[in-house]
Amino acid sequence: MRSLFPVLLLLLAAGFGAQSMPQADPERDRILSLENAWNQAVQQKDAAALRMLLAPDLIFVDWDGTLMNKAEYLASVQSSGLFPAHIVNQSMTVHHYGSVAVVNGVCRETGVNKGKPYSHLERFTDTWVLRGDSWLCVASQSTLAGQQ
Amino acid sequence: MVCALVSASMYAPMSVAAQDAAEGENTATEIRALEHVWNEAEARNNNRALDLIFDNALVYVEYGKVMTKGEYLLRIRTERPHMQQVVMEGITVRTFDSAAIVVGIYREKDVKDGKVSVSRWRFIDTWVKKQAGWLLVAAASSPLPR
Repeated sequence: MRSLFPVLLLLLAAGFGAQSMPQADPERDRILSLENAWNQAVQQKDAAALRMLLAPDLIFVDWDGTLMNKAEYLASVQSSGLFPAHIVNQSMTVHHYGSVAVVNGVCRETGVNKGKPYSHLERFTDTWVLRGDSWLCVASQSTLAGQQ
Repeated sequence: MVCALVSASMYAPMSVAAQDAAEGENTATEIRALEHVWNEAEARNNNRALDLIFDNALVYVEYGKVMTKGEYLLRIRTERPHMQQVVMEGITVRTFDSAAIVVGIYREKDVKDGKVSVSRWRFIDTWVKKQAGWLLVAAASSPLPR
């Protein structure tokens, strides 16, 4: 419960903060906040927060091409050998099409996996869909950035 | 009359669900057809066809780099036809009102300097329904281990 608290604050800020500030596209800021909340939830292995962010029918493709559904993704985040230390998004762009939004950006993740330190620079593409009052991620795809 | 009302109320929700399912299936068929158009157009360097199915704000990620619609079309225009062969290994389409997500694997056969290389990619494509019809707004792929 303690770990959920900061992420919950971010989620609430994503919902209410955008309404109080006049913006050209308040939904854009809301979605960017949700992307940051997602990173925090992964860092804290906060499955409850992740369940709020991700659609039940999520399609997740990891940087190594692994295909996961929501349950598999949550299990991978909670893997006992995985300790993400820092997850930071950069250069995010949001394209908003009514009840659909596509976020593209770069994510730097460092940590320890099964006793070995790792550092990934991933290019990600996330698709969010507005269901009721909530934006939920329905698809996420990552690939190593700048590889050839 | 009571029987008629009861049976009508029993069938009404069924018919709405069935209608939704049919609409979803129709969309999935349409999206599969558009994916096919994309492959065919790319193989034939047909930029005009690609222009019609790509949104102007398309975000295309290849080898971890972002390409705009203009950059992608320029690459197709300058590429020699039939040097690359793309074969779909199967796709799944999921629909969410005005969005459709396609996930699948494609196999790419490339010939460079007489050498043939084959690579496999897992991809996610995002299509959005606009006034002009379904348009591709995002496409990204991750290489699969050989």
